[in-house]
Amino acid sequence: MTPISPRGLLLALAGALCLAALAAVPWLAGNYWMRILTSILMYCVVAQGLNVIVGFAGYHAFGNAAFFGIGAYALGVSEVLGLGFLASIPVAAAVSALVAALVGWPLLRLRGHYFAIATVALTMAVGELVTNIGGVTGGAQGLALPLDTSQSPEQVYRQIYFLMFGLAVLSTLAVWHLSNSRLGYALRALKDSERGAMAMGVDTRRAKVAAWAISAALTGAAGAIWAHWMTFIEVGSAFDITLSVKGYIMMLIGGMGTIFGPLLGAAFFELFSTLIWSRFTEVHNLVLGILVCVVVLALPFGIWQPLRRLWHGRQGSRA
Amino acid sequence: MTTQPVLRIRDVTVRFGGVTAVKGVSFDVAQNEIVGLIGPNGAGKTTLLNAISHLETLASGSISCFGERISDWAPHRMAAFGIARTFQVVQPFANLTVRQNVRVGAMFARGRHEHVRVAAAVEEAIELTGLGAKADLLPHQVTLADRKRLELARALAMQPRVLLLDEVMAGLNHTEIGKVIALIRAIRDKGVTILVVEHVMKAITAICDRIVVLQFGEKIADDRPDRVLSDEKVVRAYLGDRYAARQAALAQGEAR
Repeated sequence: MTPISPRGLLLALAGALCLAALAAVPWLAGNYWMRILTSILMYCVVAQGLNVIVGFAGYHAFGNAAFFGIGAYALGVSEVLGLGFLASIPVAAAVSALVAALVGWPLLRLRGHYFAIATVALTMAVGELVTNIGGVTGGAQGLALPLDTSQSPEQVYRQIYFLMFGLAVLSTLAVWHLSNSRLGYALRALKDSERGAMAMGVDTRRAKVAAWAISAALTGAAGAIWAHWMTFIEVGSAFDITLSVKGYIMMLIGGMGTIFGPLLGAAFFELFSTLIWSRFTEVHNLVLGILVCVVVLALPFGIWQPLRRLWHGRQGSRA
Repeated sequence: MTTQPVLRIRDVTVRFGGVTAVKGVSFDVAQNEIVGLIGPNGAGKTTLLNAISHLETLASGSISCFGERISDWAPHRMAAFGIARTFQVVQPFANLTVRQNVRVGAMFARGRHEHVRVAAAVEEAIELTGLGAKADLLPHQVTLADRKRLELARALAMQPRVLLLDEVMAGLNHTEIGKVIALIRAIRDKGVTILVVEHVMKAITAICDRIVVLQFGEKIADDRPDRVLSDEKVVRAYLGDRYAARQAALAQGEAR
C-alpha cells in the first residue's frame, strides 16, 4: 500500500471539513439558505443518478424525471396508505428501481438518440398513467400528503435537509464504489464498445439494466424526500422534464463519469441560478443559458477534471 | 487424430439481406492446433469469425466447441466458456488505461471473481505482450502496434481455451510481426487452440498447422500450408485466372 501523501491528507481534511460544515448548516444558516442547500443536495443525488447511467454506461437517459416522479408518487401513496415517512423512502426507491429494470430490459436495446427519446417518452407516459389511474394517486387533482403534526415545521425541514444530505453522501459513495467494482468496469467497457465488452465476457444487457435500476433508485429516493418536503404533489411538478435537463446539465458541467464532478456541477448550477434569479428576474433563463454554453464550450469535460489536473501539477493527465 | 475436435464448424451459412457472406462452410480445429483462415478481400473470413463468437447470427449450420453446441449462445457466455477473440479493427475501451482494458478481460471471462487471480492474469498478459511500460497509458496514447498487442493481451487475460485472432499482424512491421509470431506460438504451447485470420502470408505459413481458404464465402481448400499454397484453385483465387492459366501453360511446357 502506498503511504498517504500530505496532499491526500489535506484533501481528506478538506472533505471532512466540508461534510462538517454541511452538517452544521441547520444551526448556522437561516431557513433561506437551508432551503437552497436542500435543493442543491437533491440535485446532487439526481446528477449522481444520471452519472451512473450516462457517465459510466454512456446511455443518454434524458427522462430520469420519470423515476423522480415515480419515487414521489410511491412515497405519497405509501404514506396515504399509512406507512410512515422514513419507511416509505426505501419503498419508493425500490419501486423506481423495479420500473427501471422492467422498462430497461427492452428500452436499453436502443442506443444514442433513440434511447434518449424513449426515456423522454417514458416520463410522459408514466405521468399520463398516474393521471388516469386516479384513485389513490389523486389523479389530475394532485395528491396531498398526510401532514405530520407531531413535529414543528422547523423540525420537518431539518429532517428533510439531513435526509437529502445523507442521500447525497450515499449516492456519492455508490458512485465511488462503482468506479472500482466489476459493474463499473463492465459499464465503462460497454460505453466504448458494446461488441468488445460482450466478446470479453460482459453480460452487457444485465449491466445496463443494473445501472439504470441504481440510477432510478437514487433518483426515486430523492423524489420521495422531495414529495414529503412539498406535502402536495401533482403530475406536472413530479414528472417535470426540466428536472432531467437540469440534472443533465449539472452532470455535464461537473464532469460526467467522475466521482465528485456531479456534486460540483449541482452546487455550481444551483448557486448561480439562485444568484442570477435574485438579480435578473426578467432574463434569468437567458443568462443561465449563456453561462451553460460558455462552460460546456470552454470545459467540454466539466470543471472537475481541470481542477484535478491543477491540483496534481499537470502530470497526472490521465483519468 | 484420435481426439475429438475442439471447434467443429458444420455447414455454416451467414446472410446479410440478399448477400450470402458465408456459404455452407465446414471444418474442424483440433486440440492445440493453429489453423489459418485466409482468402481474398470480402471472402467472409471475419464474418465467419463473428459467426463463431455469435456477433453474427447463423442462417443455417451449427458450431460446437468441446462437444457443446454454441451457435446460439450469447457472446458473453462464450467468453465464460473459454473462447476469446481479437478484433480486426482494434476496439480498445478508450476511457480505460491499457491495464484496465486488460483487467476487463480477466474480470469477466470464465467467472473469476477473486482479486488476486484477476491481478495475476492481468500482469501475466501484460508481460507476455510486452506492454509493461505502457500499462498506465490510455489506448490513444500508444502506437497502433501496441493497440494490436493490447487486443492480444485482453484476449489472453481471459485465459481462453480457444483463441480467435482477426488480423493481429496487419499494419505491423517485420520485427513486430516476428514478435507476434513468437507470442502466438507461446500461447499455443500453453495448450490453447487457435484459429487465425490473417493477410500476412509469410506469417500464416510460419505458424499454421493447417490452412482453410475461403473465396466468395465458400471453402475452396483445407490442407497443410505448403499444399494449400500450391493448390491451383487457391492461386487462381488470389492471383486471378490469367495468372493461373499462364502458370499451367508454363508447367505444361516444362513437362514436354
